[in-house]
Parts: sequence; structure tokens; C-alpha cells
Amino acid sequence: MKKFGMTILVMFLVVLFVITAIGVAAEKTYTVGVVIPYEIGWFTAFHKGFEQIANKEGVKIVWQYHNYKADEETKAIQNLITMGVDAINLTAVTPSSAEYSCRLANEANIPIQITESGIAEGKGKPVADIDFNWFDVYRTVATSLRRDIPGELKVVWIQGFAGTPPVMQGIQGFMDTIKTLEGISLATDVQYGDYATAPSLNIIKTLVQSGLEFNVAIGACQEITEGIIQGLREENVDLDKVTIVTVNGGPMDVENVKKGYIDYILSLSPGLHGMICAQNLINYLKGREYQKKSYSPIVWCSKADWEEKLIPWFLDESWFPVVEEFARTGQYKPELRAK
Amino acid sequence: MARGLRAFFRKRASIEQAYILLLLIVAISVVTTIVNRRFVNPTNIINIFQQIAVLGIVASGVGMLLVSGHVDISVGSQVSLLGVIFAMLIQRILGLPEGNVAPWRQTFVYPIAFVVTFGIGALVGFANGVTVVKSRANSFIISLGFMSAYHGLALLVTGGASYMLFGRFETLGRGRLFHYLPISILFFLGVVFLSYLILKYFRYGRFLYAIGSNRRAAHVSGINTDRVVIRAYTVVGILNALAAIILISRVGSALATTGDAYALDALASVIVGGVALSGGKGGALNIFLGVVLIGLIGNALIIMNVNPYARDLVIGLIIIAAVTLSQLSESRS
Repeated sequence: MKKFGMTILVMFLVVLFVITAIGVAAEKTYTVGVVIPYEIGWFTAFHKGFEQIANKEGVKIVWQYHNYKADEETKAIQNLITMGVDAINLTAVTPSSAEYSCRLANEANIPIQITESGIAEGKGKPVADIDFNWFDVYRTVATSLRRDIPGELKVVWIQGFAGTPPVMQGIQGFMDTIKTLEGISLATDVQYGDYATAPSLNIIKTLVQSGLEFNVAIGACQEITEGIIQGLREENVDLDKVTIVTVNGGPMDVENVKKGYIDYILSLSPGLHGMICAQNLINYLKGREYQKKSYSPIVWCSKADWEEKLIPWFLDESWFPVVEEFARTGQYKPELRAK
Repeated sequence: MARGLRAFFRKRASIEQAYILLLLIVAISVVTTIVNRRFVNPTNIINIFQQIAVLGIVASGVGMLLVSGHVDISVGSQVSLLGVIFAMLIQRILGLPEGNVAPWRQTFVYPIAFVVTFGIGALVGFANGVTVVKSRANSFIISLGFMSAYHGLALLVTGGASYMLFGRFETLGRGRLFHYLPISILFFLGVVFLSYLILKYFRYGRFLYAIGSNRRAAHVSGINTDRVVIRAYTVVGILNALAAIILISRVGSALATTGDAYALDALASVIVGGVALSGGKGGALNIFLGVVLIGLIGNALIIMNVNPYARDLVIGLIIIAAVTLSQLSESRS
């Protein structure tokens, strides 16, 4: 009787232990370390998107910043490793710094996902690479312009920071593409407006003053495009004679397209990108389907269809099904948005 | 007698510096005109002045401060911070983009935004000045700390977001007098003229020179050096508020980094203008010419269609040439 009682007690304790263990496992709260350059503009929207998905999935986030300095990136990765995070999402300074960060994370057995910067060949390997294909972004701009606008196209193009990977990849993508297209060329060298309105405004005004002939102006972000529009208006250039293209689709662009100043938008959403990055990494952590390599969506919109096609910078919960589908299959299906 | 001689040579050095700057400005203008005649188009000249208006206002404050032997490299972050505060106030009070707010808000928005921005500008400058004076630490290091602090504050205030004016308040930055002369240029020239008067005719200006030449001697001779230095920093803050308001009015939006580039550009303009880093030397006219030179180079390189990658190299070499020439002429005198 005593033995029977002991057996029952032991069995009860074993069952209790198993149930507790399962419960703990089910309730395990993951912590993800996210490294971005800083908290301004584009990355503010990225931050918000990443956070929305993390909250939905009950995942904690630790934010780290590198200000586009490789040594700061290394420091941030080391800090996160020391903190013992479950996974890392890194927007790296360069593909090489991304490779080194992956090496550090690999040594610490922490899964790391690279976003938006690409990764160089080397020992360090990420579990996933979610990128914008910057070659393709500007290939799309070139081919879409050629398709949509007849006649000779002379392009002025104001880019962000000279020498950074997205900028250089974008330039190469565009230049390679226009070689294969008829009647589209750069009116002058690619200019650099540091992703800011004031320098872009000054550049475009000076180019107009210099007598440069062009009929297309491309801004690499909403601040640059704002500068282009303002500069052309100040120089009394007829905006109907210049096709204005923006590669962004941020809040400023939305205001400008409403006013009729912007003709085309290549919509890239940092908010959606942040959501996709978060969902993909969390899917990996939780053993669900995820993408090893994918490119966040880009959509070419015109004055006529932007309201229907543009991906907003800041998204609400209705986009969760679209994000879940993308992380699972790599397919962008905006029609899945919750009604 | 000796003091008179020193004053004569100091004045001569200042005049020589002005000649060197003018010579460089003329040389660059001639070369650029040969390459592209549109450079001397009046519209382009006005453009150059419009482009340097904000820089000129910031540089005037930095220059006057540097005359006293003190540096403030937090000016860029100050402009950013004051810019986002100004834009945020307008956006919030007017409830933009909708803008359907009570009439009193429409009436009082700009006075409130002005008062708050100038008030915080003065406060920020005052804080810099008091810290430099009371800590007795090197002003470069203190303002380096403040640069980071104001940058962080701008980020905290905005949460990284940008604030837009949605087409409101464009007159100051984009408006033109008689549909021709940008209003921002008038503010720039006004500030330069005021700096000229202060440095040349006001007791306060002479105190700045005295402190820059020999702080101890100035103190012994009865000048309240601490008060003068704090005042100089406060003036920098106020001018940065003006610069921020004009900048935001011109670009129509504000980020936590909108004005960051002005710190080094202003310092470069002032040093090219012949204000000694050690203080005690320099003048408003030279600061003005330094700003014009910096603005002119940028414009000329684009007009001449110089490869963008080569521009920074050329700008750097011209700055080095200007400073070297002025140093050589000064050591000769």
C-alpha cells in the first residue's frame, strides 16, 4: 500500500514536471537584438514595423545602433551576444562588416539575419538575408520610365551618400540597364544630396542655372525629391515638362503626389520591410517556414494608380496576413490585407 | 606707440586676408565663367547668396564667439534641435495636415513658435556658455559633449520622425522681395551688418577681442570676462534659432539631423575668413567673405560639371590654400 502510494506520488510528480516543462517551453519569451544605423526617417518606420510584429508574436526586442560605423556595428553585435539574445537582426554598414558580424554570431551560436545591406562571401553565414535588391530597384526605374514615357529622356539623378552599397548598387543597376535601352541617358553625372532637402535643392537650382537640359529628375528619397520639386519651382521650370520620379513613397512623397508634383513613385516601404524582417526571423526561431533569401517588395506607381498600389510607410494590423504570407512563401500579395 | 603699431598690423593683416579672399573669389568666378558663362547670370549669383544665407547666419555667431577664443561645435545640432522644435510646434498647433483648428490657433501659432524657438535657442546658448565658463574646461570639448547631447535631445523630441509644414510658413525661407530678392538673403546680410557694427563699434565687441587676445589681461583690466563669454554663447544660440527657422521655412520639413552639416561648414567659413582659432583676430567682413567663398566653390564645381567625387577634394584644397596664404601673409606682417 505504501509502495503503491509512493508510485502514485512519483507518477504524479513526473506528470507535473512534464506539464510544467511543456508550459515553460510554450511560454518561452524570445528576445531578439536588432541593430540599425539610427532612429531617423526610414529607420523610424522600420523600427515601428519590426515592433508591431514582435508585439504580435510576444517577442522582446533590444535595439542597438551603429551610425554607419563598422566598429560600432561590431560593438553592438558583441553587446547583444553578451546579453544572450535568442537571435539578431542586422542592417549592416557594409557587406564585409555584415560577414564579420555573422562570424561573431555564428561563434556564439546565435542565429543572425541580415537585412538591407547584403553580405560578402566569407566564413560568417546568416540564417536569412532579407534585402532590397538595389540593382533591381533602379533597373525597374529605368525600364518603367522607358516603357511609360515616349521620346528622348535626359535624366538628372540625385542620390544619397556617395560610396554606400545601396547607392553604388543602384547606380550600377541603372547604368547597366540604360545601355540596353534606346533614348535614355544621364544629362550629367549622378549628384549626391546626402538624403537631405537643402543640398538637393541647391544642386538642382545650380544645374538649372548651368543651362543643363533634362526632362526627367529622379530623387533617391522623399527628402531629395522635395528638394528637387522646390528647386524646380523656384527656378520657374515648368513641372509639366519634367517627369519627376521618387524612389521612396514616404509621407512627403504622398503630399507631393497629391499636389500633382510627382509623376512616378517607386514604392519601397520601410514599415513593411521591418514587419517582414521581424516575421521571418521569428518564424525561424519558432520553427515555422521562413525565407532564407528574399527581396522586400517594390512597386512602380504612377500619378494615376498610386492610391491603389503604393505601400504606406506606416502600416496597421491589416497588413499582418500579407506579411505572414511573404515570410512563408516569399510572395507579395496585397490582396490578402484584412478587410 | 607699440599698441598703435600692433593695431595697425592687425588691421593690415585683416585687410590682407580680405584681399586674399576676394582674389580667390574673383579667380574662381573667372575660371567658372570661362567654362560656363551662365555662372555670372544674376539669378545664379542670387542663388549662391540664398544657398549660403543659413550658413552665413550660423557662421556670424560662431565667428564672433571665436574672436573671444572660444569654439562652439554644437551649432549644427542646435540648428537641428531648434528646427524640429519649430516645425513640431507648427504642425501640432495647426493640426496639420488637416489644419482644421480653432481660429486662435491659426492666429497665435507663429508668435508661439517664434518665441519658444528663440527662447530655447537663447537657453541652449546660455547653457553652453555657463558650462564652458564654470567648468574652466576647453570649449571645444564641452561643445563636443553638447553636440551629442543636443543631437540626442532632437531624437528624443521627434522620436526619429520628420515634421512637415505642408506648405505653411514659406515666406521667410522661400519668399522674395519684389518677386526677385530672397528674403533669407536680407536676414543674412542684416546679421552680417549687425556683427560688423558689434565687432567694430560696440564695447561688447572690443571686449571679445580683448578676451581673445589675452583673457587674463582682459580680466585684470576690469572686464567681466565670464559674463561676456556667456553672452557670446547666448548670441550664438539666438542666431542658430534664426538660422533654424529660415532653414525649415526653406526646406519645408525638419528631421533631427537637418542642420548637422552646418557645424563644420560654419567653422571652415570662419577660419577661411581669417578668424584665429586662438581668438583676438578677425572681422565680420572677412567672415562674410569666407562664407561666400565656401558657397561659391560648391556652386562653381556644379556649374563646371566637375565630377562629384572630385568636389570634396577641390573644396578641401581651396580651403587649405586660403588658410595657408592668410597665415603666410600674417607671419610676414
